[in-house]
Amino acid sequence: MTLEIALHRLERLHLEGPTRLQGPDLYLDPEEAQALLPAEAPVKLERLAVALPGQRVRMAPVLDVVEPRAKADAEQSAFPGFTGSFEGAGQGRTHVLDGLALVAVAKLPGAQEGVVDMSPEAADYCPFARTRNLVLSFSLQPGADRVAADEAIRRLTLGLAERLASLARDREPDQVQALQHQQPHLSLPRVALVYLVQSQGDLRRTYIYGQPADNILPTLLDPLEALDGAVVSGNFVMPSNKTCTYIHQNNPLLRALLARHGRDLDLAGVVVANEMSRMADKERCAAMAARLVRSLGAQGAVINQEGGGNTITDVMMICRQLGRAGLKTVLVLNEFAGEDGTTPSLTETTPEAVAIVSTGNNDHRLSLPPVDEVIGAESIPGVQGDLRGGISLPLGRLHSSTNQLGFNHLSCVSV
Amino acid sequence: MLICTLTSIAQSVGANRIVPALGIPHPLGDPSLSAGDERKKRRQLVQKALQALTTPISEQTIF
Amino acid sequence: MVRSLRVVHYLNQFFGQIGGEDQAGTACQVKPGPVGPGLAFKALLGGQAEIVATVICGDNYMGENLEQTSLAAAELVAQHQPDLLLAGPAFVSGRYGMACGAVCQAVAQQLGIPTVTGMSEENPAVDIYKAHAYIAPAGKSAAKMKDAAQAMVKLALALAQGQEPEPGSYFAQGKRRLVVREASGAQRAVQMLVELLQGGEPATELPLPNFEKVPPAPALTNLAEAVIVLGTEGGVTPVDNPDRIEMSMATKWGRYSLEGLAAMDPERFTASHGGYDNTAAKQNPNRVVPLDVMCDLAGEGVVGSLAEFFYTTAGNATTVDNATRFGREIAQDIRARFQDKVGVVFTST
Repeated sequence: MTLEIALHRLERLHLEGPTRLQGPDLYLDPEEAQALLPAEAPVKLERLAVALPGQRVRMAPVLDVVEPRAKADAEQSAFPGFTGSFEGAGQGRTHVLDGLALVAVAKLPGAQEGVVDMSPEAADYCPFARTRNLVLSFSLQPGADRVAADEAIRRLTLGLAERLASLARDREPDQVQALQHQQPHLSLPRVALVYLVQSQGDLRRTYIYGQPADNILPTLLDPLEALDGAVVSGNFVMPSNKTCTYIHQNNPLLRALLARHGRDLDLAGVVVANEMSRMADKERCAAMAARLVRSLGAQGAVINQEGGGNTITDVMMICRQLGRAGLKTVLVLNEFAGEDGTTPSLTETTPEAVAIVSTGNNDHRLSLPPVDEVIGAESIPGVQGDLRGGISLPLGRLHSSTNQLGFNHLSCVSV
Repeated sequence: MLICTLTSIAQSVGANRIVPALGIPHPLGDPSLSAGDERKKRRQLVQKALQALTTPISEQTIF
Repeated sequence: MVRSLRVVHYLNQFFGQIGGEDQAGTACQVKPGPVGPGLAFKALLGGQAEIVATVICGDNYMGENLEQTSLAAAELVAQHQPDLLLAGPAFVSGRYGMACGAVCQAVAQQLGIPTVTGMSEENPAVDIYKAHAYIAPAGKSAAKMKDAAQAMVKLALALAQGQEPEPGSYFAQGKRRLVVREASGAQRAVQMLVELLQGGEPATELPLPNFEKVPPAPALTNLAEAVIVLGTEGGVTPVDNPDRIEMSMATKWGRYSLEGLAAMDPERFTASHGGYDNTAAKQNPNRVVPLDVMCDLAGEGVVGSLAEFFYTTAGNATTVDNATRFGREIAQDIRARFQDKVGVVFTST
C-alpha cells in the first residue's frame, strides 16, 4: 500500500474572492467561509485573518490547528468520520497545502487557553510560529452550549481545510512523498508505536475516525491511515501538552519510524490507546496495549504521552509491562521542572523508564516583545501582561511548544 | 491520609495512608448511581479513610 | 571604560584571621577589602573585579543556626552592593562548607547575583548546596588554595559576564535547562530506540528522579475524640473563587468556611480545575469534598468533631516546589489550630 502526500507550496494568502489557487497564491472569499457555518450555529465567525512567520502578530485563545488536506478522489475524505466516509483512507493521493495551517481561535469556557505568536523570538518555541496561518476567530452566540460550540468550530475548520486543499486537485504538486509500509523486514528489529491519545470527557476529547476515544479499547491502526486524517483533536488541556489535529495528521513519530522502516527497523504496527480517567480503566488499557504490542512480535516500542498529570500513569504502566516482557522502550515526555529547573520533572516513574526523550520544560518562562496585532482575546489567564504588549508566559501556555509526539525541537539538559 | 484515584502517583510523591477513590473527576462519587446509593458509597469510602487514620503503619500503605 | 565588578568575600574565623577553633563561636562581622586568602583572589581578579569587603563568621556560630545566620550574613553582604559573592574555598571542611553553601544560597536568593564557592567533592555540603550555588571543585586542604582560587575566579568571572560556564568547572546543579536541538523529538526518539535495539546503552535525556520518603504519622487512638479536617486539590472553591486560585499551575491554596453547613451546596461551591472534567464536581461538590457524609459521621459520634473549614487548591501542572510549599503551609496552619487528636482527610482528583 502506498499513500502519496502531494505537497503544494503556497507563498501568499489573500482574503478575497473568488476562492482559487493561482500559482503560489491562495485566494479565499470570506463569504464562502461564512457560508460553511449553518444558520443556527452556536458560534459566529467573527474574523478571518492571515498571520505569517516573523510578523508581530499574536493570537489567543487557540483551540485546534489543522492542515489543509483533500483526497485526490473527490468522493473520498481527508477527515474520515467528519467530512466523509472511510473509503480510500491511507492510500491513493492526498493533496496538502504545505506550510499552511488553519488556526481556530475562540474563548470556550473550560478550555485551557494558549497562545500562538508569530514573532521571530517565538519561532523556536512555537511550531505554529513557523507556518503560514489562516486564523479563524470565533465568538459564542449568547447562551451557546460550549460542547455544541466546540463541535461547530471543529466542523467548520475541518470543512474549510478540506475545501481549500481541494483546490489543488487540478494542480501539479511541488513534491510527492510516497509513504509505504511493506512488511516484513525480517532481518531488522521489529518495533511498534504505542500512540497514546487523551480523551477524558467534554473539551478533552480525541476522535478516531470521528468516534470519541473516551471508551475505546486499545486497537491496531494502520500507519498510513494514521497519517491520513484518522485522528482528530478536540482536546483543550494545557496547550503545550496536547496533540492538535495538525500534529496528528503529520504524526512525527510515525513519520520518523517510516523513514527508517526497512533500513534500521521493521515497523510492526501502531497501537492506538486512550489515557483513561479511572485507575481500573487505565490498568485495562495498559495491559491490552502491551499485549497488542507483544502480539505484533515487537522487540521495542516508542510510547508517547498526551497531556500531563494523570496521564503519566498510563505511560509508565505500559513501559513497565513492556520492559518486564523484555522489550526496549523509549518514552517521549515533557517536563514540569519548575521555572528555575530545580524541581523533579515527573510525578511518577518506573525503573524500566531508562530511555526518555524530553521535549522541554513546561514551566520554562519566556518573555516575548510587544506585537502590532492581536487576534482574539486581549488577555488570557496564565499570561502576564496585555497580549498586545510585552508578555511573560510559561512554555505551558504556548501552543504545541513541548508536544509529546516530538513535533518540536526543544529538550532539556541537566546542568 | 489521602483519598485518590492515582494511587501510584500518591506513592511516588510520598503519601503514607492512601485510600483508592472512585474516579478522577469524582473521587467520592459516581454520577451513574442513584443519589442514595452514591451517598452510601461515599460514606463507605470515608469510613475506610477514618480506619486508615486509626491504623498504625510503618510504611506507605494502600487501604 | 568597563566598571570593575564589586565582590564580597565570605570566610570563616580561621581564614578570616580571627582565630582557631576557640573562636568558632564568633558572630558575623565585616572587614573592609580582602583578608587572608582574599589577597590571592585579588591578584587573580586583577583589574576586572575588586573585593570591597569580607564577611567573616565563626563556623559554630553559623552552624548552630544556619538558616537565620546565613540570612543575617546575606544582609551584611547586601550592604556592599556586590555584583558577585565569593565564599571560601572550604576544601573538605564540612562545617565551613555548610556555611559557604548556606551563605551562597541566601545571597543568591536575596540579591540574585552569582555566588561561587569551592569545595572538595567529599565535602558533604556539595550535595546539599550544589543546586543553589556554583561550587568549583577544589582540593582537600589549604595546600591547594592557589588552584582553588584560580578555578573559583574563572568560574565567577564567566558567570558575572553572563557566559555559560564550562561543564566540569562546577559541580552539576541538577537543574533542567531548556535547549533547542537540531533533530526533532520524534527523530531523537527513533534514533534512541534504534541504538537500544543495536545493544547500545540508553542515553536518556531525562534521568529518573528520586522522591522523598516521609515517615508516617502515628495513628489516631480514639476517633470519637478526634477532630477531622477536610481538604482537596480538586479545585473546589466558593462559587466566586474569592482568592482566584488558578485552575492550572496554581500558585496558592485557600481555606474556606464550612460553618453551619451539613453538605457542600452546589449553589455555594464550585469546582475549577484544569486537569479533569469538572461537571460531576460542580453538580455535587460532595463528590470531591465529602462534607455530607462526614457531618453524618460526626452527628453519630463516630468522630469527635469536624473542622469548620476546609483547605483547597487546584493540583494541575502545579510545580513540585509550589505543591511542597502548599503542604508545608497547610500543615502549619492546621498545627496552629489543633495541637493533637487531629486527623486530616485530603482528596485528590
